[in-house]
Amino acid sequence: MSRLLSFLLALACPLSVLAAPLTYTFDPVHSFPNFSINHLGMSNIHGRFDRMTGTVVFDPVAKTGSLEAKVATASVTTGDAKRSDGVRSRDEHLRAADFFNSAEFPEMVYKSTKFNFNGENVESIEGNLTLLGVTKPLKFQVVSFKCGPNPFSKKPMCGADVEGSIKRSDWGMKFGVPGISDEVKLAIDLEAYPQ
Amino acid sequence: MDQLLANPAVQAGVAPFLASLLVATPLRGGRLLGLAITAGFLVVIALTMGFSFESLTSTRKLALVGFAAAIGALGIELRALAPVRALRGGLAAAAAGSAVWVALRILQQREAGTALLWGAAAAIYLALLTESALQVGEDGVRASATGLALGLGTGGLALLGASALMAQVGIAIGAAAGATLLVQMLSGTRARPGWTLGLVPAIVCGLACLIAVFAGALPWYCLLPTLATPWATRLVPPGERPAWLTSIFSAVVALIPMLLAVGLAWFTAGAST
Repeated sequence: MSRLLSFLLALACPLSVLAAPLTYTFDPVHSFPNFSINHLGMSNIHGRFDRMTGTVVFDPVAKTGSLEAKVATASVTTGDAKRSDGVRSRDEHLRAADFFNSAEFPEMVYKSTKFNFNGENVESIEGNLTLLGVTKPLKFQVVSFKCGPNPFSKKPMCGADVEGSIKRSDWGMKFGVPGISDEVKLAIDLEAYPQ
Repeated sequence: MDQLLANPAVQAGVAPFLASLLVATPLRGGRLLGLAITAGFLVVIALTMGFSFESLTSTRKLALVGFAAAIGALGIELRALAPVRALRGGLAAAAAGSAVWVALRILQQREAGTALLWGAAAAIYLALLTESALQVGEDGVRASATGLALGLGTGGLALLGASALMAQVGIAIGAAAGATLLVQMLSGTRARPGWTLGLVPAIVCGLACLIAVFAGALPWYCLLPTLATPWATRLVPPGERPAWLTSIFSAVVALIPMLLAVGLAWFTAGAST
C-alpha cells in the first residue's frame, strides 16, 4: 500500500521539484584561483592560491545558481617562495601589507548574486569580491560550466572555468602601480561534488 | 612628471628630503622645526598610499597616528609646554595605545594568549622608543640624528621583512630628519628646537617596524637594538666642537644600533632559508 502511495506521489510531483537545486562543495585539489599581472609593461607574472574552499548551488531547470568561494590569501604562490641570499621572496612580499596583507586579512571572499544564462548554458556570474576589507562588484565570464557524472566514479559533479579582471587599486591595493599593473586578470578553475 | 613621482627612490628619498629642507630652512633654530619632518611624512604618504582610508588597514592607521602625533607635537610647541615627566609619560602611553590600535585586526586573527602577548610587547616597545626619543629631543642635533638613524634603519628592516611600503615610509622619515640635521649643520649653530622634534620619527618608525614584524616576515628580536638608537646619541658630548662635526658624530653613533638590527635581520633571513 505504501509503495503504491509513493508511486502515485512521485507521478504527481512536477519535474522542477524532482530537479531541486543541488549544493556542491569544491574539491580542494582540483579547485584553484589563478591570476596574472603585468610587470613593468614587459611580461606577465602568473600566480595562484593553493587553498580555496566554497560551494556552488545549481539548478539547471530553474536556471538559477549561486557560488561562494573563500580563498586563503597566505596560500599565494608565484614560483618564488624562498631565497637563499637573505632577500625576501616575491611570495613573502605578496603576503605582506603591501599586497594581500594576509596577517590582517587572511581570507578574500567572492559571493555571487546572479547566474546569467544564455539558453541552457551559464554565460556569466555576477557577485561581490571582498578583499582587504573592501567589497566591490565583480563579474566573471564563464568559459565552461558542466554538471554530470564523474567519468570514473559515476558520482555527480560540476566543473567550471571562469575568467574576470579587476583593478586592484579599487580594493586599496595600490603598491607598485603602474610598474606592477593595476589590472589583474583572474581565472578560477573548479570541480565540485554534492554535499 | 608622473613617471618621476612613481619612482620609489623619489617617493621615499628625494621628495620627502626636499619638502623637509624647504620647511626646515626658515624654521631652523625655532620650536617648530619638527614640522619639517611632518612635511616629509606627508609627502611620502601622498605619493605612496594616498589619503584614502577605506578600509582602515594597519598601514592606513599608521598614517593617521603619524598625523595625530604631528598635530599633538604642534599643539605642545605652540603652547610652549615644558617636557615634564608626566607629559612625556602621557605621550609614551598614547604611543603604546596607538601600537595596539594599529595592530588590532592582526591581533584579532590570533589566539587570545598570543594576541595579548603581541599586543603588550608592541605597546611596551613603542612606549620605550617614544620616551627615549623625547628625552633627547631638547638637543636638536641629537633628535635629528635619532630620526635619521631610526628612519634609514626602519627602511632596511622593513625591506628585509618583506614590506616595501613600510621601508619607503621609514626611509622618508630618515630623509626628512636628515634635512633638519643638514640645516643645523650648515647654519653652524646648535638649534634649540622644540622637545617634540623626535616624536613623529619615533612613533612612525616604531609602528612601521611593528607592521613589518606582524604583517611581514621580520623577526621580533630584530627590533630590540632599535631601542638603543636615541640613547646612543648621548655618547657624543656637546663639547666645544663645531655643530657640523657634532652632527656627523651623532648621526654615525645613532646608526650603530640600527645597523646592528639590520645585520641581525639579514643574518636571520639568510639563515632561515
